[in-house]
Amino acid sequence: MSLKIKGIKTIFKDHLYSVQYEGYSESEFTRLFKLWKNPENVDLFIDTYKDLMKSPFWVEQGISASDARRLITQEAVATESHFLDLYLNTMNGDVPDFNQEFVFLDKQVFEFRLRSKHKMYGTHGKDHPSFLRIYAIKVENNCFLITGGAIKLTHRMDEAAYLQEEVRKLNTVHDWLEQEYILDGEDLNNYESYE
Amino acid sequence: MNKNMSKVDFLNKISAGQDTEWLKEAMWRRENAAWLKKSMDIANDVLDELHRQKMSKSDFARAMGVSPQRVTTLLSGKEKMNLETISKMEEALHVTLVRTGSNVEDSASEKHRHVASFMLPLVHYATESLKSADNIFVNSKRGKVELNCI
Repeated sequence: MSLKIKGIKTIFKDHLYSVQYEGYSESEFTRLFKLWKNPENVDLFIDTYKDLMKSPFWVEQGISASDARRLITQEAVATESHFLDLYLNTMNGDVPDFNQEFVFLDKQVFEFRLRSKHKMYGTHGKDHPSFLRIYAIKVENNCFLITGGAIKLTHRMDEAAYLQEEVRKLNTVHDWLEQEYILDGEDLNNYESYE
Repeated sequence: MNKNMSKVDFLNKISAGQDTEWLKEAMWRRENAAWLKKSMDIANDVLDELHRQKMSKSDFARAMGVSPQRVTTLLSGKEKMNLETISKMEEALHVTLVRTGSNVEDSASEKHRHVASFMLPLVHYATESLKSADNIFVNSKRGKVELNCI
């Protein structure tokens, strides 16, 4: 069953917004960080999908389920801190460049992943793949609407059922934006009935 | 969407307002980063130990004498735990979560015990040699003792 959109909230005015779904008390942006920073929640998640951690990719990386839990919670704190830095910089008049922050996936779909280097547990200065993804639809230049996010344990989104839920959320928001004549510039002549 | 309205204006119009919740949380975390990191480390250590001992969270709660909800709070990674709570967790798990002067000493004794057990065959050999020896020569030089068994 797909989620219904309750509304949107502003993260960075004119540049970054987040969807809030019906049945949830927070925007996706806030909700995801709460989940990802909580070791018990992350532990439950890893335990549910422990078979994915047995894939050759993770075995070659030498990352155990315990390592993954610690890395995910640390990455969540570091990612939140990165957004806080961006926010505090806007106080000095800086305009955040989300075109650089979000990576193109497909059509209007983009994802955020932490790319700046942080000293992480057990990595001994070595890079490790980032686990966290924030999915968004690009509404226009340097303006994104967050639809959700996930802990990514597989290479492709179709390799895990829980990631399919994120695809459904992207489609739901995409359809809604089309209905509101926001996404498709070609249809702007039909917007008279909208306030 | 009104035809005179840009896409961004439309988003601003329908937005329920600035999401201040993540911002407050992020600023609070930055101000309290030092102890929050420790809280998260302890939560991760406890979860590792629960997995290692195959202990459920409800058994852990029972061993600690607290409710399962309290355990959930403790494992949230943002709980300011006091020494009594940490000690209760250590007792329930039979492990040391936070090193202090005394348990660092305990840990050193543990290491000596390990060395001693490693040397047991050597001690056994020396004892057997002593039993069968007719003469024992003891040389003491600069605190070193040598036993020569003939």
